[in-house]
Parts: sequence; C-alpha cells; structure tokens
Amino acid sequence: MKMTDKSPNDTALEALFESARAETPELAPDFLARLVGDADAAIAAQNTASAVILAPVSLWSRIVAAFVPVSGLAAATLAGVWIGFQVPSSGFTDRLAFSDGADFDVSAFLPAVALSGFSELETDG
Amino acid sequence: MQNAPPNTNSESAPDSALLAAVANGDGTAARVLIDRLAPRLLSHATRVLSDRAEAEDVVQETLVRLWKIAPEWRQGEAKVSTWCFRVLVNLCTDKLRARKPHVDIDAIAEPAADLQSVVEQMKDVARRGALDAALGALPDRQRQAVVLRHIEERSNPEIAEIMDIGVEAVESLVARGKRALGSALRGKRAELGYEDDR
Repeated sequence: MKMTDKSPNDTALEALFESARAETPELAPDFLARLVGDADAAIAAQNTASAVILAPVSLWSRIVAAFVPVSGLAAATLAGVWIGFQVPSSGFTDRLAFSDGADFDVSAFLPAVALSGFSELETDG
Repeated sequence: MQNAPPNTNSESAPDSALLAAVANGDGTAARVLIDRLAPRLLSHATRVLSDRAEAEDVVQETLVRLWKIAPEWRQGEAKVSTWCFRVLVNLCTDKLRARKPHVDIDAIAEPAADLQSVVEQMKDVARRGALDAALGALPDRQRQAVVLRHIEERSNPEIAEIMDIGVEAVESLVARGKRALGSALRGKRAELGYEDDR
C-alpha cells in the first residue's frame, strides 16, 4: 500500500465525518426567539447607556465649554495690555535716565557702609 | 429587529463588520450573525455535550457574551467565529466538569474497550448515530478537538487558539481521538454500509 493510500477504516471514518459535516442543525423557533431577544436587549442596553452618558451635556454646557479656552486667551491679552499702559507712569524709566549722557560716580553704586578696614591698612603701611 | 429580514449587504458582510454594526445598534446585523454562527455552535455543543437543551444554553450564553463585547471589539485582532468557539468550548468544558466534578478530564485514559462496547450497542443505528456514540465515549478534550478538526473543519492553529493549547497538543489530541474512533468502528464497516470501501 502506498503511503498516501487510506485504510478502509480511515475511509469509513472520513465518510462518517463528511456525513456529519453535511448535517446543519435547524434552530428551533423558540430557541431562535431567545437568541434574537438577547440581541435586542443587549442593543437596547447599549443605547440606554449611550443616552445616559450624553444626557447631562446640554447645548448651553457645550457652548460654555467651547468658550473656556477662548476666555483664557482673552484674559491673558487684556492683562498684557493693562501692564503695557500702567508701567510707564510708575517712574520706572526715570530711574534709568542717569545713563542719558550725564556724568556719574561709581560710588553711587556702592553700599553706604564705611570701608574702615582699608583705611587702617593704609595707615599701617 | 424581529420583523426586519437581513438585507443583502449584511449577509455578504464579514463577521467583524456585522459585529461593529451591532455595536452601533443595528439589530439586523445581529440577526445575520445569529443565522451565521448559531447553527455551527449548536452543532458543536450538541456533539460535545450530547444534550440538546444544554447545548442551546451554552450557545445562548456565548452569543450574549458576544453582544456584550461588541462595543469593545478590536477589528482585525481575532476572528469572530474563533472567539465564539473559544467561549463555547470553555462553557462546554464547564458543563462537563460539573457533571463529574471530582474527575480530571485531561487525565482520563483512552477508553478503547468502552468505545468498542458503545459501538457494539449501535448495531441497528444510523451512521451519524454511530459516530455520535463513538464521539461521546472519547475523553472530553479529544472529542472537542476531533469535532473542531473533522466536522467544523477548523485548522490546527485555530483549534489551538480556541482550546488555548499548543498546535502540537491539538495534533496529538486529534490523532489519538481518530485512532480511538477508528478502533471503535473497526469491524463495523459492514453494519455501517462501508464493506465495499476498499
């Protein structure tokens, strides 16, 4: 017998399998109704869940939510404009005027404390 | 949904597309999936459990789980039918374990003698009855593997996925199951009308 040959027993078994494959069970009407009912219930439950999630979000809530990022940008812009108008009148630029061509001494930038230690060194030396 | 017949587009759509439609509330798609999947699932469960009422229960539970998972189904990750068979096989295994709670079904030896006696009792029954009787005498996992391979015509890798075992284990289960069936049916070919198959 060649390797590819099937034994009579294999042939009989394959014939039984083939016969079983050809047999597709009918769904009993009440069983089919149960399956369809389950599917209906699951779909209805999903729709209900979706409605519950969407319900609290009213039209006004969506409009307000849309303006939140815009209002933040507007507030930042207004704050910038206000600072721009307020700072010049506070004298900030006047304090920088000493550099406008006028002579000044370096000591003006030193602390007002007396440097006594240095004067003693000069005396001893 | 009950009164709406499946339309042509739904009937030609792949299972995954139908499941996505179900997730979007399409009852017609659910009906097409039921028509497509339920008969094969019922066939397998009936052969494995040898009890029509229990088989219907596990098929119903399998489809309920399918509808629940529909909104989270990831397209392209698994075949819908493979997923269903996997759930079904597990539910069948649970049912079988419940019948014999203190027995490890994987540890059962091949009952060749029992198979012979079963077939002996089937002298006057039809071929399908003989096959079902012989299948019923196989250890549970062998029976599941043989039915999936030779009646549902699933590939070995798909059976491995369904049964959550390796492909080699599937090959072993199927080979042992077929050997046991062949042994049970040997000498019964004449009674089953196969005496001329040479």
